[in-house]
Amino acid sequence: MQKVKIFLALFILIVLIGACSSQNNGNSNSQSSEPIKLGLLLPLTGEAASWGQNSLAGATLAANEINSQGGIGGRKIELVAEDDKCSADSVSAIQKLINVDQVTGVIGPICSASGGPALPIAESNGVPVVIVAASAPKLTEGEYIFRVYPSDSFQGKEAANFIYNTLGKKKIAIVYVKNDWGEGIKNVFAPTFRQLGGEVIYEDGVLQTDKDFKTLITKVKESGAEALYLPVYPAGGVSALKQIKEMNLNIPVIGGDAFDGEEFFKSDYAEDTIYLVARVNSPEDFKAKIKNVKGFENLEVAIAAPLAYDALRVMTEAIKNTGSTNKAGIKEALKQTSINGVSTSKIEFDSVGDLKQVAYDVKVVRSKKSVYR
Amino acid sequence: MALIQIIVNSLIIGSLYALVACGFSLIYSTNKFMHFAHGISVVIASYLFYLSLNTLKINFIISILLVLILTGLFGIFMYKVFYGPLQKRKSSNIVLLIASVGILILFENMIMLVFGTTVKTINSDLTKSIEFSSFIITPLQIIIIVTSLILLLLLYLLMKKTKIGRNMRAVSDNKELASIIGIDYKKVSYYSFFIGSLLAGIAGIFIALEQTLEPTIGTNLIVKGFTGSIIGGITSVPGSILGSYILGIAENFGIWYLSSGYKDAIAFTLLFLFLLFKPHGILGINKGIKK
Repeated sequence: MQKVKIFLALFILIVLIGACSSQNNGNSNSQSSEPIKLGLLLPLTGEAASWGQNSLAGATLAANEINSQGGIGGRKIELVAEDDKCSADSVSAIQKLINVDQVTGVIGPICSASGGPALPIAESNGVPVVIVAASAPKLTEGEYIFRVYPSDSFQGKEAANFIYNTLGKKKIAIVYVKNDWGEGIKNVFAPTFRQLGGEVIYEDGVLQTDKDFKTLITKVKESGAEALYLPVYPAGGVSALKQIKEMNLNIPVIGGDAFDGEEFFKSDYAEDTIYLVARVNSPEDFKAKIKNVKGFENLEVAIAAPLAYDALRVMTEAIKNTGSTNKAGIKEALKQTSINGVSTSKIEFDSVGDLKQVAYDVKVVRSKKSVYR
Repeated sequence: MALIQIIVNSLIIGSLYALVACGFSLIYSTNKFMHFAHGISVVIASYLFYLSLNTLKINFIISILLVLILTGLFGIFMYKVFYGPLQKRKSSNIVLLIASVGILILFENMIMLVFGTTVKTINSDLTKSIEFSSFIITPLQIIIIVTSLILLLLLYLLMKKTKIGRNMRAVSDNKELASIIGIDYKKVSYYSFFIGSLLAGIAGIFIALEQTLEPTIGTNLIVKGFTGSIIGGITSVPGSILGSYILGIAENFGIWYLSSGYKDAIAFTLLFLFLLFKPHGILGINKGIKK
């Protein structure tokens, strides 16, 4: 019994301390009037944690800048960050942001796996969201959902154009990974390529866990394709490229943005592989600014930082234009808002809520380095 | 042209499955529980091989020997630390099965912690392809097929001709009876874990050279090895080998006629059909009361 009492006492103490400290946070931010609360739905731990920390840094920088200029109409921006672990944990996280914190808008997520289950909740509650990096095309289907990162559907379109027009290949084989990302790209790529006048001569989806592609490559070889479009992840991709070399399939291989990482182009088999990746700027002076943000001095700055910075700025710009925290109004304002971004020159949304203008870079692996083609 | 290539492809992947399956089946037949953590022995072997060859720059042959011994010892370690104490407490086989899945996840995560989640590759000169008139193969793939066949033959001889093999078969047949005639079944368990894991080690080295490394490959491999064992008969080591080759052939012909995306579906359909209609597999024996 004694033990239970001690535990209870400890528990109450912890709760009280927690309450006090959060009270302090609240007080420091609300001076003249209530602050505007914005939620951050980010993978602060887990496999994409570095993306989450970068986004947190970018959003914090944007909020600090706005607050130092007096906030929006005298109201400061207050950020509430929740961890979605790059997974369906996003559901409870976004429910907390919407119902408990009652945020005006949400910035995030990073992962499509988190966005898929969480964003419909924001949509049905009428809370505007600006996605930082989750790229599955379907995510922006809702009225309230916008995105500062190019949708995968753009990638399929760009790749089709590049292969048909620049490489001049008219017969294409496509092998994609069977998930939201791979199928999203394929569903745009194949019709675009046909529209251009090309022929999709072979089409097949592979499992994400698959490492043995020999029979598949035999099929591609028999099909007589002039090039292979291969939007798969690096683990499968390296295996596939190795086996493509072993089986003497001598046609150009074009990959997706998932190939844009050292783990891919450091391998022996990536040589000469071409891939398309969306252009996201991360200028040096911006990186320096991020490093000045308290708590992020040692951050390895990556593209998530400028993306989250832009996401927060476009959201606050829309709030400013609305003149209130009316969420439906902010949604309408987001459709009209246009700002000069850091990650990309102009941030404007199309009718779906995706970026109007997206630039892609074509890169190629040469001597284990990724270079512009 | 394509037909021969598909058969060759089936033999390569079938050999890898067989190496996983026969170790799994060996451990099952002497211990009578599903050692699903067998998959992690394969992964540990591939990562140790990567560490030894790429990071520590140890000689190729020495690396192989080192990895095989360490993987065998890892098998003994798993038995000693996890299964042994559970068996002592007379835990049911279901508990051991759950423990084995737990061990698989535990070590998978430990590998992620130590090596990270990014994909790793080992570059080797053995992958320069040789082109025949009707198919293409690399020296490594020839080594995989030949070594597997030799090893599997050796395993068969070990089981049939040596004393330890005879003891293993005796324990596999009836543990109580075997211990009455003075066979130390604990010792037999250790042997089976050592040999089984060593075979997994060979599979791990081949996979490291032939495919890419990821911490999560173990689950997929043990599922395929398990399927191979069920098809051939889980209590029979030669059966599990036969089953693995059948699985390899079924998968590759399935890909040829259907789509690559159905690969796992083909494996599971086979597994399901055998469990329904021939639960003891092709070569397995039905012990217990016969009608």
